Amino acid sequence: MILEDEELLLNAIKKKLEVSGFNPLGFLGAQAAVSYLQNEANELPDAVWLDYHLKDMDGLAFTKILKDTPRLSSIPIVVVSNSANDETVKNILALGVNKYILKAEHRLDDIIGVIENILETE
Amino acid sequence: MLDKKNLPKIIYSTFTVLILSQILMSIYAIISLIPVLAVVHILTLSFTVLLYYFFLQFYENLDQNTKLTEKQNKELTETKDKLTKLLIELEEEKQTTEKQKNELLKLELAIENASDPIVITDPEAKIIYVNKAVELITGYARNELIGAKPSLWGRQMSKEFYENLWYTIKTKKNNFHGLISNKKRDGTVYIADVNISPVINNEGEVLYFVGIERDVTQMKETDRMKTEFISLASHQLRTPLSTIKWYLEMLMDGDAGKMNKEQHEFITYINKANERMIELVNSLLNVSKIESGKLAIDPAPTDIVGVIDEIVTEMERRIKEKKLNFTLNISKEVPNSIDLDQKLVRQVIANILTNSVKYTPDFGSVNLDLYTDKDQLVFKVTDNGYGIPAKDQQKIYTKFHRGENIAKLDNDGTGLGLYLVRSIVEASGGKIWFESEENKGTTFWVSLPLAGVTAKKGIVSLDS
Repeated sequence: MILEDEELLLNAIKKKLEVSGFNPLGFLGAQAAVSYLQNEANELPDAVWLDYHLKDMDGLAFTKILKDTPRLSSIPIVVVSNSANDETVKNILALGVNKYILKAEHRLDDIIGVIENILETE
Repeated sequence: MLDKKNLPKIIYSTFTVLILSQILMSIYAIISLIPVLAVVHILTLSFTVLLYYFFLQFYENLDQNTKLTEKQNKELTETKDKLTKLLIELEEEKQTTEKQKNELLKLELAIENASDPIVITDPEAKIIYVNKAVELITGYARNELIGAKPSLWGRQMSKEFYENLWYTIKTKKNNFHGLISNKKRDGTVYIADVNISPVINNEGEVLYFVGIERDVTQMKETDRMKTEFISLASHQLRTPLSTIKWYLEMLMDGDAGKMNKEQHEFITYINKANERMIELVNSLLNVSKIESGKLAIDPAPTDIVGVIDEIVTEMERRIKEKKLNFTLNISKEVPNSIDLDQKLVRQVIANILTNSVKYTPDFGSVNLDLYTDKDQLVFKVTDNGYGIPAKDQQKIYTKFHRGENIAKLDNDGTGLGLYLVRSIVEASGGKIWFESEENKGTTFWVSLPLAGVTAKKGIVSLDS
């Protein structure tokens, strides 16, 4: 599952994940993603790629919802953001986020590598 | 004219001659047995002696009178001098008092018209003086303020805050300095930078409290806006850059089909330029963070040798490409763990090492030495590269400055690297210096205290 409010970026991530053999599910907003996850009929994602700054909810609030829901709490979360101060990173990692990655600094390949690693160790 | 003082002498001589001659004449008359002459001379002698006696008396009186007058005159002159002196002193005292009065008036006017609010209270915090600025900032009139307590426009902070404030100024009799939220008469809350000092007498008792505050609401707001701008810029500028980066990556990886050689070449150029833009945005953001004074320094026990190894590993590809002779020497004295901000140290060393690798021609040599010198940990990066021209050496730490020789060689640099490096090193309590000669090479030294870097609370860290 990918949460990214920038459509061009969302498409790039989806495309790259597809090429890498994943079956990505993209969301431009957090509310829609939460609704999807809370519907028990839907299949749960292997991992969540989360942009910290979403228009309708910040990454911290979204992570809290997942971690507070037993059915969803074990889904690995990788936060991929453009900016963050130390406090934000500390807080969200404390909630149990697996990794915090700075967007412009990394290649898509690198980030997908991080996700693959997490999935292998899970 | 005969001198008064000579007069007795002349008279004395005259009388002596007269008396002696009369005595001689008398003796002569007695010896010559002329009784009548003897009687006449003895009578004349007696008369002369008597006259002499009167003269003596008269002159003694005269002398005493003269002496007395002289003494009186002297005393009078002295009294006059004393009086004149007293008058001068009085005049001077008058002038001093006038001057002091003027000084006091000046001081009073200065306090009254100071732009910062000034409050004087008695030891029980009852206000005894406020200047004009207090009325202006609080909105209360002077007659409402005098006799009241500063809590009239305070009471916005916690109970513990005020308890600590009073403990500091009244019990410990120390100065208090801090930021306090206060409330104006119209309900507006403002932030004041407050200084309160107790005025203490010789017995150590508090006579007054003097409080000076400054409205820093605007300053705080500007600070907040600056921080907000940094965050906004980092987010807004990086989003399009990430988009370009990731689509280029897919194109280059052939995710959208295979490109021909020329297409691949062009895309590589675009990617290179984009990477430069990302680096520039990062550097600009770092500069902005450092200049906002909010850069956090967060030291933690660091395996510095491990950090150096990681930096070297990251640069290995560049070093091999340029076929540089690279050596790394780590002294045995370097401790296993030092309290450093790993992120900042990494930034500093990686930056200096990157410069050396970048600005040393193929087949050149680059050395990195890590050793201790007294209480300092020293990083030394030496190369035999292009060097820094003498005329550029003064300006290498200036923002956006690039050495003339290297600017011609490549247009890849931002001119921000060494500015950032020096800012970080100095903020961490370290030092940076260099020696360089054009076409011979450059050596950079960075020293950091072995005892560890002091923590500094801030709200931003580099590259976030």
